[in-house]
Amino acid sequence: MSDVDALLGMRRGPARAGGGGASFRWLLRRELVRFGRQRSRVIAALGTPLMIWLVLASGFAGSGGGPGGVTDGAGYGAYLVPGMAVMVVLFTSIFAAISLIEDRHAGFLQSVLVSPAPRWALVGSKVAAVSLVSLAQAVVILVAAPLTGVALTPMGVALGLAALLSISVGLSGLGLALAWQVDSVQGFHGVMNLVLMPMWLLSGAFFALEGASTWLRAVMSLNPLTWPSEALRWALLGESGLPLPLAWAGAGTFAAVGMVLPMVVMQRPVRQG
Amino acid sequence: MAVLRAEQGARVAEETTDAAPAIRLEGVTRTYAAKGKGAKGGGARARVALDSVSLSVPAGQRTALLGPNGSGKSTLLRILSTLDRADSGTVEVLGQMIGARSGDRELRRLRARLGVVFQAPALDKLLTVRENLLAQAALFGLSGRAATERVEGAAARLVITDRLGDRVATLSGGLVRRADLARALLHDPELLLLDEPTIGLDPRAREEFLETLEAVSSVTRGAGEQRGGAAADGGRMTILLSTHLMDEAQRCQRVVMLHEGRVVADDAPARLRRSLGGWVIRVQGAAEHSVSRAIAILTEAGVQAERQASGVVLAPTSSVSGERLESAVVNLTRAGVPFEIGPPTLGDVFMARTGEELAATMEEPETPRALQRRRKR
Repeated sequence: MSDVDALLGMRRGPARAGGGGASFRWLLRRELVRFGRQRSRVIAALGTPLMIWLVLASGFAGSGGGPGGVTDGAGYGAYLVPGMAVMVVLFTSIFAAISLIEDRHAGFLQSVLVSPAPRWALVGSKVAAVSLVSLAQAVVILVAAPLTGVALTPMGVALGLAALLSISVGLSGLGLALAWQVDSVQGFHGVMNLVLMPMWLLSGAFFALEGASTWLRAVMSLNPLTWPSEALRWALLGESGLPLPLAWAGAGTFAAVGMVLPMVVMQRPVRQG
Repeated sequence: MAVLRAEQGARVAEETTDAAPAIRLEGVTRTYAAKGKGAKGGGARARVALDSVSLSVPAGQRTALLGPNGSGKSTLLRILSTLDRADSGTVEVLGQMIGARSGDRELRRLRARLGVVFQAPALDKLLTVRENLLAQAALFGLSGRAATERVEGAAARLVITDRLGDRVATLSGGLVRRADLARALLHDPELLLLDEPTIGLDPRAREEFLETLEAVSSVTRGAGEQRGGAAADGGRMTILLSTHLMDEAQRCQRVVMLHEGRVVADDAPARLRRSLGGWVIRVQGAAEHSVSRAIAILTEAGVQAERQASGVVLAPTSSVSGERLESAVVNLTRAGVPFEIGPPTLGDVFMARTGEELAATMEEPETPRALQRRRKR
């Protein structure tokens, strides 16, 4: 052992710029541990959609099926199921993006960036954590869905989870790319209100694409979040405002962009915290 | 630890710098776009953080980057740690060039040889110390038993073993700093970069931290390892520490003074002090007429006295005989001018070169909230 080993009392094991597997696993573990130790995050991510679901479904219960006039047979509460699942994913993605800004201010992000760990390990761990957590939370929504009259099938649930996975990858990637450019959590709230929330509102979460006015339908069709959301709606409710191949191809594209975009953006020097 | 400290203390006084450089900078400039008014349209004002900086940091030594807040220290460390890029100039770290054309793999190989301590500890407060250190080990490709052994070994030597299971949020500032140093040293880096690492510490914790750092730098790194580059000889770890405090810089073998993004001095501390002569007369806090009188008395005695931008009259005595100095002191006393005479400090050197004052020692510890506000600014 060298003197420095003796000083630090450690056996040598050379540090190296490896493939990043160990980094990815530890960063993912860190995200999950952090999530578990922040009860407010769990409550906010799941509680808010459940509350909105309950209020809107009850509020529109006597209004003939709710906005959009869809979901024959079932009520507006059934129509909201995919939208609320997307909301769970959206909130978890927003928290992940905010945690990136917090990591920068706290200095933890810098310690990752000055390590030999590849950037994909950082992006991948955040995206994987969002996907795992939000899918687990979305399952709660799906378990409650039959209460509103939705008849779930095993194939529908499987396809629904696939659509939710593409949404979580796309949204968390977009959130991380935006957070990289923003100085503060307050600044990210502006981005959230101007970009992410409108994307969700115009994804068919509250009202159906096919029932919207012509101009709004055009806007909704161009919204990338609409594509996987329509795929999800088809998987869970058996109806979609977009042709299915287009919805699923869009879902795949949304996820792919969500993976690539933050990798590209994060090649730029990090803003000072 | 005491033996290490004594050995190190004997060496610090004045060491020559013949070793190969671990860091070499040539004409490095970094400019940031201004924020706020005037930043939009044609009226954009740029802030020059580093202005044609050239310097060389010898391998195996402790070098201080000394300068007040805003002098470019942090920017320089960000560039050296690959977090930022220079607009122009040459940056070479451990024999490897860093620039816009550096490939990702190249940078990652370099990062594996660096340890970085930031102004704010880079530990996750929600995790335990052990979890933080294991995460750091994983980032450097260490896992399993090797990682565990490293964590436990580092914790034992930095005396944080009994706190390994505690969440970082529950630790005192001094303990957090020690854990953060353990994090940066876990992979046995060739070059350790520290950006004002004692900010926010109380005097005792600060002294402990500096002693630990001195002990780390005074021992030999793993000999015989084939790593390539300037510091691959199994020698001592190279340490580059930024500070705005004279007494911290004083404990290093070399001091590079930065002011408004420029290098204004670069030498061993003892040689820098000697450049002002054996004694320095300082006239500080005197009324205007006393200042004028002091300058007249000193000039008459052949002592070159200048009123600095900070308002202090500084009179180095490098080219003055003992008799003339004595005469100047007697006349200043008779004139009732408040003055001090003493051996030159690094603060005097800084003032002689820039006209501005430097903090002598630690001010009130900065609170984490104040630190965060300053970093945001």
